[in-house]
Amino acid sequence: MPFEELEDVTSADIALRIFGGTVGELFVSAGEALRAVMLGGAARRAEGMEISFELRAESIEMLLFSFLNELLFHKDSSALLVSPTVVDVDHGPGGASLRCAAVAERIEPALHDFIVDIKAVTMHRFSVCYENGAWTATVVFDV
Amino acid sequence: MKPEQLQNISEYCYEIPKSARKGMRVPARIYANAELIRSMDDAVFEQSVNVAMLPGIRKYALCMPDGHSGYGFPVGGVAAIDPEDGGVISPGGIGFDINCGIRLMATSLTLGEVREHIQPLVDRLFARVPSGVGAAGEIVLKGSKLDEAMVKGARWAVQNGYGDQEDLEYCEENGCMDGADPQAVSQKARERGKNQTGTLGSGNHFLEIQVAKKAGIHDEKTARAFGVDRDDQILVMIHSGSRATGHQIATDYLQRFLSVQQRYGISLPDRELACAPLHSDEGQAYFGAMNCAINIAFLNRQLIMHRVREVFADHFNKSPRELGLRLIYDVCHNTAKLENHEMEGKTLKLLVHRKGATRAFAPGMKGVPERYMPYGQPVIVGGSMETGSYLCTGTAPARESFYSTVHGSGRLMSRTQARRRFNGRDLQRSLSERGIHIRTASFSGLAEEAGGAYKDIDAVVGAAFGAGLCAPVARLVPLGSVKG
Repeated sequence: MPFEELEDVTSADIALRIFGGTVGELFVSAGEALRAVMLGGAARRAEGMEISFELRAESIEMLLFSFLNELLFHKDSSALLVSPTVVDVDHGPGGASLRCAAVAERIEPALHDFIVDIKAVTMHRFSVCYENGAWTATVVFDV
Repeated sequence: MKPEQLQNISEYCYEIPKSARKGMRVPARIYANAELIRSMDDAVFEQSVNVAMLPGIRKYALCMPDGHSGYGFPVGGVAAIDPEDGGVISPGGIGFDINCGIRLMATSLTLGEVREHIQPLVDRLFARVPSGVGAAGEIVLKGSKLDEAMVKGARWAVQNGYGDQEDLEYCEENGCMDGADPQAVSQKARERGKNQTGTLGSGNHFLEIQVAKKAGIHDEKTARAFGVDRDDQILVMIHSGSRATGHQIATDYLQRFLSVQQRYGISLPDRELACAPLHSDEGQAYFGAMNCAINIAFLNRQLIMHRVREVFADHFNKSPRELGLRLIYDVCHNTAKLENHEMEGKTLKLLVHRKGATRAFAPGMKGVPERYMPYGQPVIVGGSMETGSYLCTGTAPARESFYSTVHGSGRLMSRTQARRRFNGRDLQRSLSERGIHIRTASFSGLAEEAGGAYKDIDAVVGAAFGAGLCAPVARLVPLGSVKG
């Protein structure tokens, strides 16, 4: 999986380091990581429908923060698990924006055995950085 | 960070002096015994030091004996902040699950009458009270109805037939926090939580049938006053919060505060502590929105309690009144409240942030229900489904902690460690052999809530008692639990 759990950061919540070769891949990995911590990496997928959404933020960090929150919003408001497939990200000194193509599955208790529910994305140790040709994010989810 | 500077003030109190880190405005104090302090992860100390840097903080940054690492504040963190001294409000000092809290109900039933009914009762509660991810409640709150509910809290439920007027008397703030401003709640927060009213949630949320055994009564007089008045009495405990409405309100304002705090000259070492002066437009807006979430949580627990009454009444074919299904008390864990506190001979109105901590008013204090006035405010300490919980009471020495105390056992293991160590289905089986019937929406989630993942609740309550933060009244033993 394109992420690893950081076990020494928090006892009640879940801290992850997430990787991507490109910034778009980082965002896709973050979406996969969110799904995997809630359901386990090998969880089955239901039949899904294609959706897309766009977001803007003042920085690449805040864009990732908003992006993950958007996925949580779909989970709670519409009982949809949204898995990003392609994320196109533009960023620069003036801000950052993305267009995300994703598959949305309806939550089905018979199929989706949740390990935990993620309530929120925290700003504790939240970071996005580009180093040695790869993108890395650190995220602590509130459980 | 396990600071060299950690000083032992008394048997149950440790202090990190103000000089330990540049930027600390007050010392940090951690209430614990020697063993509990050793078990606390280093982040507890780091985060307590960070809290001590908040503008307007008075006296100490505090951490309760059940403290463990969180984000922004440690879980168990308390900070009393003076708004008249540029003091701030911080969503990270309250938590995303605003007014996550516990209510405890008495029954007139005893273990002998209920023992054979535990399994069917838990099964019926599991069927009747929606739990787990994606579960929807029976009431969908939208538009003006949601506005009204956000202002009225548990009172909205009672006015709409989900409970009795008497229930309100036995909630913190009578189940309805003043100062709620629905205009300050985003459309996203309204939309996100609209289907979750009356649902338990997941994680450490639970609905539990418990027994107060004679051997577990610590203070018989106070127990009787609270309604625990017979041997082997059955009680019901509900742990839930403001659900996704509260999560989104906290998220919205965390983002907003991050973008404005620089304008107020605030710089803190953890961005999760993002804040704004209470007396600013942003601070007032969050305060109004947070109070809406507090009320949604009161309403949520009231609706769940109503379902519990229906299930018991239906199962035993008696009315809730005949079954003595009475609310003992409802406490909040994750809030910031304006309260009067005495400091240096003056009465100050302080904004007391309690994150994973319980208000614990002493006997005679305004805000304690009339019936409990000589005994203090009931404090409900939720433990694990294996080891049990406590009913405690507020005490006068707790003035030192701004009348705050523990809220639970506190985690000892991370969720991943617990999942590695315990297996949900095995746990359910072994608990069943010990007479504790569990129904869960998630077996993996159940493993994370194993008793071994938590601190020893007797030690935690013992340390809180030793430090003068509250006094134990009755130890409550689990018989059956619905886990989210």
